[in-house]
Amino acid sequence: MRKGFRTVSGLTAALAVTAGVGVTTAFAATTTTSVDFQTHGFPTVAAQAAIPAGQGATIKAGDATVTIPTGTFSDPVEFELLEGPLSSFAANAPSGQTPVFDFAFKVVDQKTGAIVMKFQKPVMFSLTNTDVNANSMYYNIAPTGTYTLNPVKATISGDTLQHAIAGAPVGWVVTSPATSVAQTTSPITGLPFADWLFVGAALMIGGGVLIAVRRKVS
Amino acid sequence: MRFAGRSRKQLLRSLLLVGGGALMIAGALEIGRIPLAYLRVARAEQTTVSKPLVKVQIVAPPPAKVVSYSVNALYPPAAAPGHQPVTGSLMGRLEIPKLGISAPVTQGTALSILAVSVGHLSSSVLPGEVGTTVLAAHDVTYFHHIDELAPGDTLTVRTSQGVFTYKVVSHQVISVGTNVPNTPYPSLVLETCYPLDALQLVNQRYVVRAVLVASHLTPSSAANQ
Repeated sequence: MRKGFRTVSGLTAALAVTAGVGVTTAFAATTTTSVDFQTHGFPTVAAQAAIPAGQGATIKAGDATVTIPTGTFSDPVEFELLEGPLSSFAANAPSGQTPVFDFAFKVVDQKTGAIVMKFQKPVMFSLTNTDVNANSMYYNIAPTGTYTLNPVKATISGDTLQHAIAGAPVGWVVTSPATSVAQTTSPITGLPFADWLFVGAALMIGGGVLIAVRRKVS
Repeated sequence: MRFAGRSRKQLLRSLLLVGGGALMIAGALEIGRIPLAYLRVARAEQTTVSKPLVKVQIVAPPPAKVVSYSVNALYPPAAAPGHQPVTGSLMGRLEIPKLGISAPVTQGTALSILAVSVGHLSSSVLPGEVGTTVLAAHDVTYFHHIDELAPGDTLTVRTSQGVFTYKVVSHQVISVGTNVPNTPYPSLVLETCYPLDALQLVNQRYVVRAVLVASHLTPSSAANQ
């Protein structure tokens, strides 16, 4: 396993929030050599694309689309859209919210081999999913798994959420208000063994008493 | 007079004998419910092995939500949403290798159902579907040792839609009236009374949460993906 956790932790201190027009959180550093995305909950490459220098691309993975405009990268890059099991992000989710999509970007400069942390232009993330609604939220995920509400509100239209992203911190999670299974605890999953035992014993003792009394009646 | 008094005593003795005997028999029957509960479970465990499972009727057309999972490599294919089977029908089998459990799963959670099998809460999704499936059973029978399940342990639910393998992720004790979250991915909750050695009705529930990690859809179910 790569020792990327320390690298990311160090970078977190340098986290700079750019709340410009449609621009999201980005690291002050522009590149780093290693980030262990697996440790941070994003072990799966959902989609990837080799993007020539200066060119744009559209990457799709399931319900998600990432649109990369031309001029985003001055060097050729390998762009990966990473995902992790939603259950990994459920425990830290804000109260009343449930994660519906999580993702991270791993962008590797093909010339230098470094991971690109800051983009020259924001890329557009779009998620269309029946779980997305007007109350969905867009969070940054810190290396510790902590949720931080992104300072730029996502644009939501129907079941589509969009957000511009200008850098590649560890990741993001889209949440929606949690729903629950109705009447979860309605099944009676216990058996009153003690009641049966006591009632049975009481009845037997009562019967014994009656039979004992019978012997005295002569 | 003496004859009448003797006759009354005789009658009283008879009544005491009948009443005492009846009470003792009633008491024995009441206590006998305890081993009978275990016998019914043991019998159901055996007799349901060869019984056919109720066929889940797929909701048509399948919503896009399920399609998203079928194309996403992160998650195993989920079962297409199906209509809830008729209450009381045998809908599957729950296998928990670590605990040596192989239990029939019946639709519904009525007392008569939980007396012989694991019950599927009809307000939850069917096993393998996107959402949270809730399976309940008595703490003194099938789920007596579910607290021994550790994160990472697997359990399998077999239905007419396929075989679904879940991995345990957590445990929790909740109060009666608390609802578990309906997840946007396929998950499973095992539910029973808490404490697990309770011999009376209690107001807490022990829940084990698990997430779907593998699925093998039957050909007809896979065709609905």
